[in-house]
Amino acid sequence: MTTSRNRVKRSEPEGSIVVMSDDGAVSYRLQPSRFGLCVQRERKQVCGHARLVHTAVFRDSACFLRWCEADSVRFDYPVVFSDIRRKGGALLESHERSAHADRDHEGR
Amino acid sequence: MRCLRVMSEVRTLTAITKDGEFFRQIADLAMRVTSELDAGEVSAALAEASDLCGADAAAFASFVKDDEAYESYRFILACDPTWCLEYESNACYMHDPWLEYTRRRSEATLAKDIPARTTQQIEVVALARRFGFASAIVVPAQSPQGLTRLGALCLGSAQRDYFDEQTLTAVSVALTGLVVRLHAWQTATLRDELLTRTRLSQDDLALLAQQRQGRSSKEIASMTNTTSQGVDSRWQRLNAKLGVSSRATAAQLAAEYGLI
Repeated sequence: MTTSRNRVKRSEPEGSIVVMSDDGAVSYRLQPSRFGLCVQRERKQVCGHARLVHTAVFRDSACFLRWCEADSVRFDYPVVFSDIRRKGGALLESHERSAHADRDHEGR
Repeated sequence: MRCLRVMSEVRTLTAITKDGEFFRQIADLAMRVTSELDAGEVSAALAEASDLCGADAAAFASFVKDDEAYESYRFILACDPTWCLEYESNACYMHDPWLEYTRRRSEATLAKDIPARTTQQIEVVALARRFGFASAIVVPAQSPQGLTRLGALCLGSAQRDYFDEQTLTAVSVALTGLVVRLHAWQTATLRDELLTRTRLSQDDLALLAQQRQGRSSKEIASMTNTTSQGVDSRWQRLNAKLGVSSRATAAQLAAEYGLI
């Protein structure tokens, strides 16, 4: 899927989604895992010619959305921001649904 | 995990480290960190280490100089990830005294003993304190000489004196194995990413190793029964694959990423 402002592609490992800006300055890999949603965010900084990559696992949508809101990408790359929020939110909801289903199953 | 957290909150670090089970659990955790794990599983392992130590936050930071243009800072987090966003916006990586310590020293230390001299360094530490590192221990991972890559595990507590001199030795002994494994995992991940991206062949890797050993085109040509011009052509293609401008940079990059 391609938009005018960002590129989205399915990539390895299975089930992960990569979203990146057209200029390649920022990219996210969203990977569902048994712990929640694993997000790897990479940003190339002009300052000091640095590449910053951080990885965190979000266990619920509230934490993920709070993190999204704090990201400067919201202003610099609004389409990427909205894509991440939407796709990450959907993956987390799916994770939460299956976690609930597993708990219900174990409870029986 | 929640239950562990509740239990750990009522125990002091002294009590935790006097329990032999603590060392066994951290050792087990370290052994589970293999190159097979993905970043999410490593983050979960960090969270487990943090819980075992009764800490509130954990981050494994690594650094590698990519090429002439870029240097990479990587963080695997088991803490509020908003910290990293602020760290990035304020370009904290340029003034981080804890990272600077890791560049120069190999022994674990308390973060409070690492001097923050400049205004920027004081701000970096203040930011960490806001995100669960009010007291912290920094455990560096060693790298081979001549390489820029480094790694460090930082465990933090919102409690000001949670990590102290009395428990420093025990905690650092327990965590050193884990840090070595995390650093090895990070190096293996970087290596795999670079190999996937560049599709280097075994011949390419052999050429990079020969450069690293200081061999000239003429020497390599004589060893491989080719001409110097042939070797130079191979170098041009190899530099293009790696996106660097010289063979020396290519060999350094390959070494930094654990390819040779």
